[in-house]
Amino acid sequence: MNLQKKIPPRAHRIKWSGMVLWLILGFLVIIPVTVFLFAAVSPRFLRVGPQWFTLHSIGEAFTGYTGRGIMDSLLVSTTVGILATSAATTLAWLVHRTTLYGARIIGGMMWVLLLIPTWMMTIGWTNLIMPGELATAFGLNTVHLYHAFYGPAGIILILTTAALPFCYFVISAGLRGLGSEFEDAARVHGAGLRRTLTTVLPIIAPALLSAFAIAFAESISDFGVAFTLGANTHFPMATFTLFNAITANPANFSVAAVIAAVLILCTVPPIMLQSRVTRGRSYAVLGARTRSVRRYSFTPVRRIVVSVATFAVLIVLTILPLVASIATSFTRTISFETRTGIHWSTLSYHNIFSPPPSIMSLGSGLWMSNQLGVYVASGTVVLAYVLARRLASTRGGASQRIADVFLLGSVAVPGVVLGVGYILFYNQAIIANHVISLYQTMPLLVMGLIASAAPGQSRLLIGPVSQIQSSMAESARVHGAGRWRTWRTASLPLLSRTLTWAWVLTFTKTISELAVAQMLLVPGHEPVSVIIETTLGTVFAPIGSAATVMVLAEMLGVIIVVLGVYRIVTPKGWRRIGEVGSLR
Amino acid sequence: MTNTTTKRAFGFRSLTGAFGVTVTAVTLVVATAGAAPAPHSTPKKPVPVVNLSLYSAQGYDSYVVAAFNAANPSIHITLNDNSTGTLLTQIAAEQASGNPTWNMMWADGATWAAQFDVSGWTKHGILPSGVNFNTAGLTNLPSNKSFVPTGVTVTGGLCYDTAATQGVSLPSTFAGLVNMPNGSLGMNNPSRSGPTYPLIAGEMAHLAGISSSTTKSPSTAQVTAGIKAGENFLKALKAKGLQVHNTNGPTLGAMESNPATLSAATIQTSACYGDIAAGYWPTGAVKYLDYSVALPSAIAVSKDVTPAQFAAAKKFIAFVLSPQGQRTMQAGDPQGDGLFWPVISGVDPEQGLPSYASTNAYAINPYVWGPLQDIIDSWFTNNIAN
Repeated sequence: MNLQKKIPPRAHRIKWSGMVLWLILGFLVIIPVTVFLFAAVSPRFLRVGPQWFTLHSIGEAFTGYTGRGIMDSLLVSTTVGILATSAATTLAWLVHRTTLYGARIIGGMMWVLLLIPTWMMTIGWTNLIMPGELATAFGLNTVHLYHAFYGPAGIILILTTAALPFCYFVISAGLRGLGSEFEDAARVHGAGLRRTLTTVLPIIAPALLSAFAIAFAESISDFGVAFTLGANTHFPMATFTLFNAITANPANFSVAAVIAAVLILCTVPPIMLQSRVTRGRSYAVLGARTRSVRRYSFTPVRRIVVSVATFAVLIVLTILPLVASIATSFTRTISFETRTGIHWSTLSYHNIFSPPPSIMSLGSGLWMSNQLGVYVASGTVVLAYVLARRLASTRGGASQRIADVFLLGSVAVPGVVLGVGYILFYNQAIIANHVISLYQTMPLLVMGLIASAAPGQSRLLIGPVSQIQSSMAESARVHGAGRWRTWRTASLPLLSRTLTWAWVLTFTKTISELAVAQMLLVPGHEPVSVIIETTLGTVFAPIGSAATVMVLAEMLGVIIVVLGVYRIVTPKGWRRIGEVGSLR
Repeated sequence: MTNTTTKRAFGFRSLTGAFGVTVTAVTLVVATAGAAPAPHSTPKKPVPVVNLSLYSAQGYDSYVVAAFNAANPSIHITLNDNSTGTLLTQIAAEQASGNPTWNMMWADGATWAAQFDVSGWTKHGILPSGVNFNTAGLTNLPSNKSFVPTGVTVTGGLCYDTAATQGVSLPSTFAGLVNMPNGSLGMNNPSRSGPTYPLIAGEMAHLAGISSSTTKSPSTAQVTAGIKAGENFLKALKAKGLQVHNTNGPTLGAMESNPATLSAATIQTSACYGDIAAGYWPTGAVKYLDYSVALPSAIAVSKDVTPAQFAAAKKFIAFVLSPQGQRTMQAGDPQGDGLFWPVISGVDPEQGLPSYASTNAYAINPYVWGPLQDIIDSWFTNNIAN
C-alpha cells in the first residue's frame, strides 16, 4: 500500500511544522516561565517552601500593597493602550493621508522614540524637570511638575510615549496598504471627514487592535518606569511589587509567580476582543493592484497650525528629554546647575575610554552588546516572521488562537521573570550536569534575549503579514513556482522593509535591554546596559550619562548604516511596494 | 497527484529548512561566540588549579580580584559584578534550582549574609587565622563566622550643604532632626536604596533602648516597641516636610543643585565624602549625630564549595583582611566604595574620613532585623514616601 495515501501531505505538514515551532517556543519561553509560575502553587517544587501544593500565595498576592499594584497596573495599561492607539492613529493619518508639513521627519522621530528604553526616557525627563536641572537653568520653577511626574501622571506619560511608536508603525503599515478607494467611496456617498474616518478605520481593525494589545501588554510588563517613578509614590505597579518579591531576602518566588501569572492572564481580554472583532472577516488589502492615495488637503493656515502643533508635541516628547540628557552628560557635576554655576566639561566622555578602576570597560561592554544585537536580531526576525505567518493564517483554529494568546502573554512576561525562569530551568542539576551547561554562557543569554524580543516583534509583523493578499502567492503557485520561490518573489519584496526595520529595532532594543541581561550575563563580559546601570548608581553617574548618550548615538549610526545598505542592495521596486500612500 | 505532493512536501521543506538552517546558524555562531570570550581561553596563562566564582557588588572588586589572581596563579577567581539586588536574586534562583554555581558573595550590609546563614546556604568558620581585627571588625563579626566584615561605612550621618544651612542650628541628635526647618531634610527610600533599611532598623532599635550589638538578641517586646517608636519618629519627620528620594544620587543632587531643594539628609556618609572628594560638592559637609548606623561590607562562602575551593576562598578572605588587601580595596575605588573604615589594625581610612569613633557607630543584629525588612520597607513606602 502506498504510504502517501495513508498520510495526507497537508496533515503531515501541519504536524511537522507546528511541532518544530512549539518545540522552539517551549525551550525559549514556555518551559522556563512555567517552571517559574509553578512556584505559585508548589513552593517545594522549587525548594522555596515546605508545601507541595498551596493556594496561600494567591491570597497574599491579592492583598495590601501587591493587590493594589495589580489594580494600578491594569488601570495604567488600559489607559496607555487607549491613549497610545488614539495618538498613533491620529499621527499616522496626518502623515500618510494629509498634506502635513515635514511628514517624512515624523517617521524618523518615531524611530528615535522607539530606540529609547523607558529607563533612559525617565532619566531624560528627570534631567529636564528635576529642580536644579536643565529647566531650572532656564529660570523655570519645576517643583510641582517634578512631584507630579513621580506618580501616575508621569508613569502614563512615559509608557504612552514608549508605546506610541509601536502603535504608529503598526497602524502606518495598515494605512499604507489601504488605497484611497475606500475613502473615495465613502466621500462619494456623501460622508464627511468624521464619517469617512469611521467608515475606513474599521478596515484596519487588525492593526488598531494589534496596536492596543501590544501597548497594553508592553505597559503591563514594563519594569523601568514602575521601578523609577512608581517606587517613591503611593502608586505601586505590579512589576515593582513583583521585583520586590523576587529581590526580597529571602526571595518570595511564590508571590512573584502569582503576580506574573496575573500579568500574563491580563493580556487575554485584549486578545479575545481582537479575535471577536476580526473573526470570519478578511482584512487583506495589500496586493499587487493597490492604488495610490489622494491626500486630504488642509487650508494653508490650518496646514501650518496642525504641522506646528504636531511637531511641538513630538519635540516635547522626544527631543527635550534627549537634549536634557545630552546637556547633563557635558557637565562634571551631579546636578546640571550648581551653586557655583554650570560646569561644562567633556571629562565624562574621556572617562568612557579611560575609566577609573572601579568601572568596567564600557568599550568592551559595547562590543559585547553589538555582538548580542546581531545574533538576537537575526534569530528574532526569523522566529517572529514564522510566528506572524501562523497568526495571520486564515486557516487557523484552536492552535492559532492558543499561539495568539501565548504570544501576547509572553509580551507581558517581565524580563526579570524570564531571567529567573531561565536560571530555575536551565541550571537544574540534571540538565546542567548531564545534558548541557548553559547558565552564564553566551548562548543562554542570546536565547533569553530572543525569548524577550520575539513575541513583541511577531505582534508587530502580524499587521503587514496579514495584509498580503493570498491571491499573489496563489498566482505564483499556479504559474509553477515552488513555495520558496513564491515567498522570495511575492512576499519578500512586500515585507523586506518591514523585516529590515524589525531587525534594526531588535538590534537596538537588545543593546539597551537590562532585565534579562542582568540575570543571564556572562561574568566578565557584561553588556553595556548593565555597566551603565551600575555606573549610574555610583559617584561616577556623569560617566554613566555620557555612556548613555554614546550608546544612543551608536544605535542611530547602526540604523543609518543598515537602512543605507538596504537602499543600496534592494531593487528600487522593493522600496516602493507597500508604501503607495507615502508618495505624493 | 504525486507531483503536487512532492512539490508541497518540497515547498514546505524549503521554508522549514530555511528556518531551521537560520536557527541552526545563529545557534552555532552564538555557541562559537559563547566559547570565544571564555575567561580561560588565553593560552599564555597557566591553567588555574582552583576556580572560584565571586559574586560582588563592590566598586573595588575587579581591582582586588585582579591583584589577587596575579599574586595567586594557582587560583582563578571569576567575578560576577552586578548590583546587590540582582546578585541576591541570581543566588536565590540558583539555590532554588538545586545547583548553586556561586562560591562567594561580597556586598554591603550584613542582613543578606545573616539570611543566607539562616537558610543554610553558607559555610561557618570562614575566618582565616591570623586576622588582626580592630573594634569595627570585631563588633561586626558573627559568632559562628558564617560571614566576615571586610570594611565598615556608616549610614545616618547628617550630610548638609554649608551654604544652604547658613544661620540654621543643626541638631546634634536624631531626635533633634524634627526641629529642622520645614522641608529641609531628606532621606532615601529603603525599597530602592540598600543602605537605608539598616538606617531605619537602627533608628528603631536605638529608640527601643536596645544596646549596640550584632549578636545580642532583643526580646520580641523590645523589637515591637522599637518599630512603633520608629514609625512615630518617621511620621513626625514627615509632618515636618521630610523629602524622600529613591537613592543617594537624587538626594545628593537635591542638595548640590541651584536652587537646592534640600539642605540636609541622613544618608550613607561615604556617598557624601565621595561627592565632596570628586569636587562635585564644594559646599558639602558631614556632621555625626548622637549615633549613626554601622553598615559593614561582608563576604560569605557557599556551603557547596569543594574543600579545595574552600581553602582558596579562605586565602582570598585572608588577602582582603590583610593590610595589602585593605589598601587595594581603597585604591580600587578611592571616591566610592573605597571610602570605608578598615576592619583590621594598622590600616588608616582614606584621607578626609574622620576617626571611626567619631561616627558614634551603632550596630544592629542582622539576624533580628533582616527578616523584618519587607514589612518595614512596605510600611515606609505606604506611609512616608512622598
